[in-house]
Order: sequence, then structure tokens, then C-alpha cells
Amino acid sequence: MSDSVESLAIDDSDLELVLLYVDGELGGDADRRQVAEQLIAANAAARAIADDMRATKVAVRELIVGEAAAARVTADLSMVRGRVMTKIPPAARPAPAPEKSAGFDPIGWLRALGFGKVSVAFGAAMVAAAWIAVALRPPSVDPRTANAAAVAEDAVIGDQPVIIEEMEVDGESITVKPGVEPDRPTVIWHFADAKPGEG
Amino acid sequence: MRHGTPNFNGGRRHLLTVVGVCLAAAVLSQPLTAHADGGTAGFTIRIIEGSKGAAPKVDAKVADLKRELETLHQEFNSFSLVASHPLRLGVGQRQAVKLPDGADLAVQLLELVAGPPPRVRHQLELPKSRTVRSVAPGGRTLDVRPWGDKLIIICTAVDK
Repeated sequence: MSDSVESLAIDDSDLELVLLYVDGELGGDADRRQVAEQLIAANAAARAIADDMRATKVAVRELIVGEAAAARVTADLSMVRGRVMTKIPPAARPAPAPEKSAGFDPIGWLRALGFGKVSVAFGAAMVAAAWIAVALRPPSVDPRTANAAAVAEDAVIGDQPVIIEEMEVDGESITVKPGVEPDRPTVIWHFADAKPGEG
Repeated sequence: MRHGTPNFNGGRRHLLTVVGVCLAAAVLSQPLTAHADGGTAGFTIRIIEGSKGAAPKVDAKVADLKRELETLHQEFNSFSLVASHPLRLGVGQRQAVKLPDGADLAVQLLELVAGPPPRVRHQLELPKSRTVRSVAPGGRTLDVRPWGDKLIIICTAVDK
């Protein structure tokens, strides 16, 4: 591996090393940990995979905990709220109570601003449209070197094996993560919007 | 009745013009896609269950997804194939399969789009969402749904 030019590819053994490192499974192996750190520092593909994996793990941890807790509170709260909110004019909605917002919750924040079922669907459609729009842009870098978001920006439509054209959601959020390489699947996360303590 | 002939010819010209315009409009209005009445596309839907096990375990039948599944490591480390459904759908056809949580997943083939690259437009319906996807042959999507303390992972592959 050259010091001056970052490598754009990663082989399976290096990939495994990166995954183990991000998982914290190299705690007792200082040598391999050091190799992994050097690899992530020097190899853009390794760095992108490590960043992507960290981001996914955080998102999964946060959102799944919320989902599981919400399922215990009420199985279908978000559906009921979605229907109700479409019947209430935004102007008539009370101002959000500040003490309810413990930490930043983007969905709760949007709802507090009067966004409901229709708006969430519209927002999802806008996200999909934006994603398709950026996917139509010509590539500027090798997609393998970028993280998931940048892959979407830098892909051309002809190279994208999967294009999400439309989304319609009711009571859930969808997160699209394009495959990091052309032969990898696009991952679509479905998360229930309801969080414990809302509504 | 010689004076009638020019009128007949003029009428025929008009008729031919109208027919020509109609034909041209019909040709131009055809989308640049192959609707292929009677065309079919094959899908393979694999239902995978993700859970937290004592030791990491990835079913050999989903080994091709190991890299994606490994990003869930620590949170979920055990992945097993619950069901595999090969489907062949005609344009407009819809088929539903049962998920482990009792919900239905439905796939509808919307259109076969001529390439390059050729794409299979289809709609995937889950209980709270509907997405339209345009996927090249061999392309795959993974829909991940939390299910209590487990995950339901749906791999939808468009056959090559």
C-alpha cells in the first residue's frame, strides 16, 4: 500500500479485520488492532466501511430500542396518531411542551411543527426524489471509496442496480442505504415512528 | 361527375392525413419502455430472522449477505433463513407471502423496462409502507424490520 496514494479497494481479510475492529473484538490483540487502525487511516474504502458500520450500529441501537419500547406501550399508536393528525388543521394544534423533548428526536420535532402522516409520506417522497436526482448526477469518485450517503451522490443511474422510485409510508420512517459496491444489496430500514412518551 | 373527383381526392387526402397524424401520435405516445404484455420476471424472496444468540451464527443459505448482516453484529449476531419464495410474476400480477410476525409482504410486477440496463419495476408492500423499485436483473434489496427483540430481514432479488 502506498503512503501517498490511498487505496481504493479492500480485500476480504482486511474487511474482516475492519469489522472485528469496529465491533471491538480486537481488544486483546494489540498487534491486529494496530494493523486495523493503520488500515482505516490509510485505506479510504476501509475507512468508509468502518464509518458506515459505526453509523449503522448507532442508528440500529437507538431506533430499535425505541421500537421495542414503543411496541410495549402501544402496538399501533403511530397509525392512530397519523389518522388523527390529518383531521386537525395545523394552526389549531397546541404548541409543543418543551419539557417533553428529552434529547433531539427528529420525528417528534417534525410532528411538533405540525407534520403528520401525509407530511411524513410527502417527506419520504421528497427524500426519494432527491436521492434519485443525486443518483442521476455523473460520478466524480469511485463509489467504493465513499460512505453510504456519498455513494448515492456519486452513483450514476446506469450503475445503480436498485433505484427507489416512490415511497409511501404510514407511521414509520424509512432509511435507504445504497449498497457500498454495485453487487451489494440496497438496505432499506423500516422503523416505527412511535416513541414511548409521545402523544 | 368529373367535378366530384377533386372533392373525393381532397377528402381522401384529409383522411390519410388524419390517419397519419393518429398513427404518428400513437407511435410517439408509446413510452420508451417495453411493456411486454405477457412478459414475466422472476424474484427470489428470502425471509431471514435476526436474533441475539450466544455465539455468532450466519446460516450458510444467506452467506452472500454476510457483509450486510455483519454490520448488525453485537446487536444481532445470529441469522437464519426462515423461508425462501421463488416467484414468477407477469406484468400487473401481485403475490403475497407471509412474514414470521404474521404480516403480509406483497410484490407486484409493474413493468419491464428496456435497458440498458434493463430494469424490473415492481412494488413492494409491507404493512405500513409501499415502495416502488426499479431494479436491474441480479439487483437485491434488503428490507429490515424490527420485530420485538428480533429482526425480520427480507431479501428481494430480481433474477438474472
